[in-house]
Amino acid sequence: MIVFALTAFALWQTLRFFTESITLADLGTVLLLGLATLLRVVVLIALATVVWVPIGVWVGTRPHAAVVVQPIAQFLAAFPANVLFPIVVSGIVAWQLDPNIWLSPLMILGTQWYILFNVIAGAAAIPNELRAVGANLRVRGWLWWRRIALPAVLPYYVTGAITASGGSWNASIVAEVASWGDQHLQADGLGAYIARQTDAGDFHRIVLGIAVMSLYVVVINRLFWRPLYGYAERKFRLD
Amino acid sequence: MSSLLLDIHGLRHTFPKADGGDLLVLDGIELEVTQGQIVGLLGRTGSGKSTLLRLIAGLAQPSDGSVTYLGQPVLGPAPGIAMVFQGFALFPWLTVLENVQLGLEALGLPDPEIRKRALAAIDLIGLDGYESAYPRELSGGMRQRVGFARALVVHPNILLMDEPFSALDVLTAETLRTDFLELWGDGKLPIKGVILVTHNIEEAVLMCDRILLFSNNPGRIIREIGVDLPQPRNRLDPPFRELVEKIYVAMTARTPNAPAGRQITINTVLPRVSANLFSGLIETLAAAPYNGKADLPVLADELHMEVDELFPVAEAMQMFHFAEVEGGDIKLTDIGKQFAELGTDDRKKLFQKQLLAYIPLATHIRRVLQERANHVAPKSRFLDELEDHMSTEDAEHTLRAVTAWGRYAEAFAYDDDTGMFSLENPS
Repeated sequence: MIVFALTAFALWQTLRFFTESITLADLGTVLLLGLATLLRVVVLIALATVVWVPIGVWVGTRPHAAVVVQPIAQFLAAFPANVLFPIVVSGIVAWQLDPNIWLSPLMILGTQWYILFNVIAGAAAIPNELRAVGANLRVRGWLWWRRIALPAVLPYYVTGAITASGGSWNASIVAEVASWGDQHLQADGLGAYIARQTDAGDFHRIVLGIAVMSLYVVVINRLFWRPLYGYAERKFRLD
Repeated sequence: MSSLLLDIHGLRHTFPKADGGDLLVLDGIELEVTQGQIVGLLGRTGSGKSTLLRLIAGLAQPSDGSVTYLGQPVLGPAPGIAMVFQGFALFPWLTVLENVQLGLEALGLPDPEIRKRALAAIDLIGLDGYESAYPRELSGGMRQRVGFARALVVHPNILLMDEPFSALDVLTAETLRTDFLELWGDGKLPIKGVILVTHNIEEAVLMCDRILLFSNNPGRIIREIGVDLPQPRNRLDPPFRELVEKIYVAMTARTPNAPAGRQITINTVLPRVSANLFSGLIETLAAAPYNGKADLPVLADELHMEVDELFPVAEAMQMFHFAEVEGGDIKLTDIGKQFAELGTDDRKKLFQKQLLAYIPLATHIRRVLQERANHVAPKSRFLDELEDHMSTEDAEHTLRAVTAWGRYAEAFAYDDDTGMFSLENPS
């Protein structure tokens, strides 16, 4: 009973805190900006998938290559990607590119490696006997990818992609706004919104932006990644 | 000429070792397989027989010598050589039908034919009704049937079988063997020859027309035995038993190359046999009805052990001079008989005496520990030494074997947390 009362009071206070200065129009704007960032995340994860899954499988099925590449991928995942931002910013300014498109790759600079090293681990975990079956029956080319490699790495890929997409949302806060010297670039997106409100010290809107971003991440995990992971685990687990 | 399916000549194979040297696993292998034969490769783990199967399948290339299939050198996976695996090796995300169709899809056949042939193979092997099941829904026996159907559906000339029944329970394995032999005998299988790798002597005698016996480290063919008993064969027939006995004798015979139980050095690969197993077997042998001497096949049968399990124990008992193995028999020595009559503490003392007298690696470890001021030495010190003479895996096993014996004999102690050997026995 006491817990219930406390919770209700806390909710009431939170609501009052917001309604003081935030309108429905604010909420609408933030949700829309969230959609823009979502679009970036989806496109970038798709691109990273197309690039890194084949490379990860290639590396993972070659023990010698995996020994060399795996630590490099893990290092790159830990590497602070912001160090590279100035180069990108000066490039965008020099060629007068659209920041809405060209700032986006920064979001995935540090997080794409999760996809790579998970796929490498997945490909390396394919049992020798299964690989021998493929070789013995001379399963090659697209058939090999479709029937053996891609199903075998799917559960690992999903793990990597969940981490990469969550990380990319976070990275948008620093990636959608980039400065180098007196050059300031901005893309339209939820990350840029949060960064801007942080600069302005607008506490209410910072909270709103972060709450909406968390909401997006949680909803996408629930509706997309979780079911996909469950399916991959059920159907494609090797045991 | 036309009936010669496979011809292996002067085959030799090595694996790279940790120190950069080569470890010889197969040496001087000569083998011809003609049409209509089931050829058995019989030997213990580590005799390289599974490696030979991989070389025949073209999954690896021999270091030296040649594998010729229908007159052509095998340089990669050849069409017409299909394989059945010990662990079934089914793709868990494919249904029974999809697993069986895989090899046909790889051949690039039109869809209707793929389906027709896959269903025919499924029907032949007794998997009707399971087409849409996933492997995880099937029992071990049914899974291996899928393995057979998948290999047979491509109509191979040679079927390679790598211990295909050893992961199954006794009854299921027997059913699968009988079904296979029946289909083979009726000419219903689309294959011309079979190579069966096994460590089960009775299985080899039951199924094969020729049996090649492999020695260990490196694998060499020590003997070829023809089996001309008519099919179906009965395990209880006197000629069947005689043949089993003959193979036991051949596999326990002392050859100049493999001095069983003699001339052990620091670098001899040691079998991992627990001291409890020693005691148990010595007691069994000392008691009636054996009274100190037993026929190995009889003993194996009695104890429900396979060659792979019994031979290491027999070998270890021989190393310790607790028993003699010759001519398919195992016989307790006087020391062995004495061991059987002692109590726990005295057994440990006798075990320690034998260990330090006849297992040079144990003596070596103890001497190193005694020479060092603090009486401790890291595991890696001995492991590195062993790895110069054997594979990493063998070195690990050998050190574990000697560690277990050293502990039981209280000759030295080992702490797995720190990886240190020491002379102190923690009380």
